[in-house]
Amino acid sequence: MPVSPANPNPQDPPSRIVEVTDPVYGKKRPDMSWRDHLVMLLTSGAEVEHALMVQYLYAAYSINGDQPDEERRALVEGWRASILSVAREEMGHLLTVQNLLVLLGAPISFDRQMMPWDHEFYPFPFSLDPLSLETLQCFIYAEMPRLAQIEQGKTYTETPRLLAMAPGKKRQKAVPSSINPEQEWACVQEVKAALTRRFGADKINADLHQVGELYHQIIDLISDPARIPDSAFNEASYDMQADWDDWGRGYKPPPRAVTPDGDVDTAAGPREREASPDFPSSMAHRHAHVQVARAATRADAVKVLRALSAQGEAPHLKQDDTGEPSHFERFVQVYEEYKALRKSDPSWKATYDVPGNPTTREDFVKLKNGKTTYIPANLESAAAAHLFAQLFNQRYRLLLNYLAHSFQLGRSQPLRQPGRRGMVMHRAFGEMYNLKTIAGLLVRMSLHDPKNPNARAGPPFELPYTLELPQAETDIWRQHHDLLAASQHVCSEVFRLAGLSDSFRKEVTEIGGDVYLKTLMKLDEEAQRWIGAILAGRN
Amino acid sequence: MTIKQLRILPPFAIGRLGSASEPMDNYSFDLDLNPEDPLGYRELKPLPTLIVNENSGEIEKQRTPHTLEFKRGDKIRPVAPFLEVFAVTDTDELVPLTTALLQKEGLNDHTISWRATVSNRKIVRRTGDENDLVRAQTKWFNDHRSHTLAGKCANFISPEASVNFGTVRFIKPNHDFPEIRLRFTPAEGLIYGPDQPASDPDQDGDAYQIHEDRAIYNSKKSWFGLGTPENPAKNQTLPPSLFAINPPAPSWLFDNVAISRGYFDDACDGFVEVQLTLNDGSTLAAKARICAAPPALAPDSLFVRTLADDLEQVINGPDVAPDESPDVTRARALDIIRRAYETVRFMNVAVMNGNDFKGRPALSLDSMPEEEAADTQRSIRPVMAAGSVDTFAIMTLHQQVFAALQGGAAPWFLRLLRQPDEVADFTDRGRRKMPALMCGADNNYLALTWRQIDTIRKAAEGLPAPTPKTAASVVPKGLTPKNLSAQISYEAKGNPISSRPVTSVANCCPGLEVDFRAVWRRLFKGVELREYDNLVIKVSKDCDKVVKGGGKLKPSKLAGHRLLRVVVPAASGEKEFLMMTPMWGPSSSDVDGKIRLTTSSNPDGMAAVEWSNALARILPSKGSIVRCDFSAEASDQQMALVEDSDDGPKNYVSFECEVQAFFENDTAVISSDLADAGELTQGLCSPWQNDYRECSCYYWASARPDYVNVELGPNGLSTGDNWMQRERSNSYVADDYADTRLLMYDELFAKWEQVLKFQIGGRDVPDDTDGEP
Repeated sequence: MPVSPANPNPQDPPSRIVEVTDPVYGKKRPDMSWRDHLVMLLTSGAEVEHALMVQYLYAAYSINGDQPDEERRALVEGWRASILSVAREEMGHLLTVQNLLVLLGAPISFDRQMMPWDHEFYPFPFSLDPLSLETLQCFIYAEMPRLAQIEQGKTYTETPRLLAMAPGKKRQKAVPSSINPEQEWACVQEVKAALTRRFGADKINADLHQVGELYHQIIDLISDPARIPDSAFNEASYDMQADWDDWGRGYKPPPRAVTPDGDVDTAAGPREREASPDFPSSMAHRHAHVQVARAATRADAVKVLRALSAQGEAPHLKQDDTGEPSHFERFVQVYEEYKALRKSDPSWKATYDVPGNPTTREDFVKLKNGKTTYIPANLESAAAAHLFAQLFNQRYRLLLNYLAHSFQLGRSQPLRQPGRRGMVMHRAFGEMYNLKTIAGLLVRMSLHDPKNPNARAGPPFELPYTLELPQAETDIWRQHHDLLAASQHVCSEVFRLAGLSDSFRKEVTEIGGDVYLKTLMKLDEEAQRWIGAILAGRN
Repeated sequence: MTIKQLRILPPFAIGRLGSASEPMDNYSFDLDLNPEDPLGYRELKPLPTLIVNENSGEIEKQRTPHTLEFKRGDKIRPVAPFLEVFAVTDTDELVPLTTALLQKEGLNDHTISWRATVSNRKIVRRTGDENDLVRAQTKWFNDHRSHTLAGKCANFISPEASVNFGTVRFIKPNHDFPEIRLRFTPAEGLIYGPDQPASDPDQDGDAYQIHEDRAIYNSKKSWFGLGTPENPAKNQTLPPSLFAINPPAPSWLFDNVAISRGYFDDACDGFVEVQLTLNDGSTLAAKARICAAPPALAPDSLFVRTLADDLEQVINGPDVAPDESPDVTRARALDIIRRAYETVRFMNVAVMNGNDFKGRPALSLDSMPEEEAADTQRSIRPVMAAGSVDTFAIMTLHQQVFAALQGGAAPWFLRLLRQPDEVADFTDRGRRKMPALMCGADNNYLALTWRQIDTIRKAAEGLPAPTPKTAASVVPKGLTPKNLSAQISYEAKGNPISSRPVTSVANCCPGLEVDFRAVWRRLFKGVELREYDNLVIKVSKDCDKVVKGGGKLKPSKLAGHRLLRVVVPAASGEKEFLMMTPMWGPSSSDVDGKIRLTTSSNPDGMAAVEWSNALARILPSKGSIVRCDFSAEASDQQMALVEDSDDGPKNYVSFECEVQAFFENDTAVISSDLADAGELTQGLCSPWQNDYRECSCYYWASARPDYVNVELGPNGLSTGDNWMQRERSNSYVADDYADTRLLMYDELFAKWEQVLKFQIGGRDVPDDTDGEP
């Protein structure tokens, strides 16, 4: 039993009648039911996926595509594509976990607060950092499987556990990794050593703190009818869940040719490779496989969890199992390529000079002991970046609101005909595009740091004070309308200040921010009109 | 400055039919974005209009109208394009030919003469009888009168009977307008027919009757009544039976019985030629193509793939040059997305998606999924998830993508674009690719040109960040003898934008302005292919001389065989291009599987790939010899190419064929070797009004709209009218081809100008107001 304030001497029997220790590996608090513990783990899982996703996005957005030569530009764009593919798949994981919460009749959660319950599963403080070898080390560690699974020199075979994680037909690996197993093993050792130096051996020591472990616990628990009875699963919730057809956006491997008898059609030739940008980084050719799975039963739930887990952590396998490179493999690939390039050119930078943990809140800088970077609002300095950062946060909030609302609408809206559920889903995707765009603008905007003239801003991904939706449907629409109005205000403020200050205007127009904002404002006007029509119809 | 050669610009001008006496004023819109209204409809701008004096033939003045009126009363104003003569000088410039330039050469405008040749081959295409050719050719003229293009036909009731294809006029140059130009004024959009109407006593008394002045086709000839067992239709077009039939119609609702009423129209295509006789008696000549097409009824919207895109691919190839300016690439990518949402907003996406409509089964309504189900004999399935396809929502999503690209985001959706060899991929994955829900020239799902796709690819690989200083235009600049793109898009004075290829649809199945599939048929010298697939229709008389190889199978015996593959020599080894693509559908037992879709008439499950994309990489070999693999046996059916194997010998025979030039002699005029007068329109519907009833909007949504007057409904979903519904009620009437609330064939024949409403800003233009929305 690990040390805790309540039990400073682990070897002694508990001295209290009521155990109030923090949850640890395999342990449930006695004041919680197993279902509640499961919901907590799933909620943690959702929050971890969300946290990882935004960190991956930040790293991807920080990449500077304006490289001095075509070859490097293609290489870094390939890294960006590879990391974004992981982020997309994390989004799929996030939605799938929400589906499981719906299946259990539990509240969905798009929060990301890293509540104390889940610190065991992700020991690093949440941190938005530009792409670097250090951030890649964290990403690798977060996604990697148990170290025991990867042993140098051994032929990798599927363990029963791994086989159980991803049942189903085998597929040909679409694009093999260029990193051989020996390199992968060496990389893992290197990462482990580096992280131990940074965070301490007690954090890095065991295979306890990866995302995969969380899923292993969830799978163990959800598989057990003794702890989670059949009555915990609401089969009728199936249609309320997010469906790949809606959310997958085509992100899955191309179908394989089968004969009329259902066998693999070998005469059809290898599975075709889709058109993709021509990036030298081999994994970048591979498109994301977004898994958004619904579940109606316990078996469904176990199956989808196994698939998510394998997608994240499966080690390099000689005998293909899932047929696609895991997040772990992709990060290793980027890491090794990055390392090789830095070795050949130590002064080279892959990223803009973006800060860690940018914030629009000056007070947060003091609260977080200097681990954040304030994007200043002073007119003479970085007001443009500040306003765009605010806009980013607003659109992030809109995205999370639309996501939550789409689940809510799933309870009442028909599936087979166009309805508000589908429209809100499209709005969510629209906000994802906005986030991508505004992030791309922010990393080109100056922070006006007197100590570093190259310092740029970055997308803050700051959460609002609440992600709770109002109770009444009408009020949810009003909240969307209100958020859009707030966004319109920020956009208008940009144009107002551009009219007052030449330097401000130049800051915005040089990167094409004005053109984008004009279009965004038009879109928001239409969105407000749309919401107005809905509200009028409901009244 | 000496005149070395002549050109006529534009090299391809589209006239638009209409019966108003005064041609349409000049107007245009910016092809580039309006930064102040980036998502709005394109703003139509009245432009200087050339007013020709009817008596003298001179341009008496130029005026810019205050507002645009597309109609006068209930008559549509035709678009009558001007064609200007240019001189290629000894300094390699391309300059307008004017009276001053002529004078410098010791010449005057009397040394200029013109000739026009236009044809309507729609009947010939169906009957195969060259006596059904309706052809008009003027003599060479150098006066300034209007010359009627009187189309004669051996199978008319008399030698005097003719179709009025419009007029051509050599505009008299004067001081203010000294350029040498011709004007083509198209016809009124009338329908002609047999001298004997259908004599069915049970025929509806409201059925359209051809005016006696236009009942000129000899009813004893084969066009009248084509389609009976005694007079079967052979060598059908695709789609088949694109002609006015005896009721009831459409044929597919009535046992596929399609008997021709013998109707045809005054649409046409052909050439205008100019000759300049020099002092030494030699001549310089030039030609251009013209066609007469239906009006551009949604003039402020462009289709996602236009004839300009296809011609751009012909000129510049399917691959974007690596050194193309990133800003040009970005502008082109944005333009494609913009045209995508301009197209989507005219579609009732839910219906086009194959959703049931108010409880009615999707199979009873017209859509691409329904077509697909019929062609593959598989169950109908919606393409996208049925709950997500409201028009507003989809249009907004496209606009959101557009906004992101404007803001510098690289396109992330390259994999979502349908490759031209994926047009017959009917798996969910294949069908959901973009452009979605629309029909391509091969009658399968629409793909963009290779070049358009490559534009997106190049943008997706990352472009330097945009800046205001580097904003580029999509309009080709620099009118020079070598810049064919600039010549194709040339804006002649006085010509509305609807006379240019950028307003002509390119998914020609069969098309609206031209059937562009027709130009590819004779790309390989000596051989003529069917316009919509790889069947060899005929061979030339000198085929055995101009086509080599084959062994026992002589080139002159290739009619009825199929062109399976073309092999082109390349620096890095040979490149092979198949002319067909497999048809795939979902496996019924494996959600991750796909299965070859075969039918008894298509046992290999193959589909033709439209020529414009299939042959795009062959064109650079013009004048060269390429290897063409034809099927060893004649075949009615599509077939896969089979190589030698243990299972049997290969099924093809190799020949060496010369690739013909696409354009004539360093010009931007589509070669007459590829398409004679009348051949660019022969595959279109006869009469074209029939097509407006029969071809739903999933062909050309922004040219033949579906969903109009679209508004937000109380539930946030879109509501609107079907463009073809008689009463505008804001309650969309789905098209089952039987609903009496919709316009039917005979109404279109009788009064198309009154019932087809112009759309500005996505809304009906009222008849009694001007063109302002």
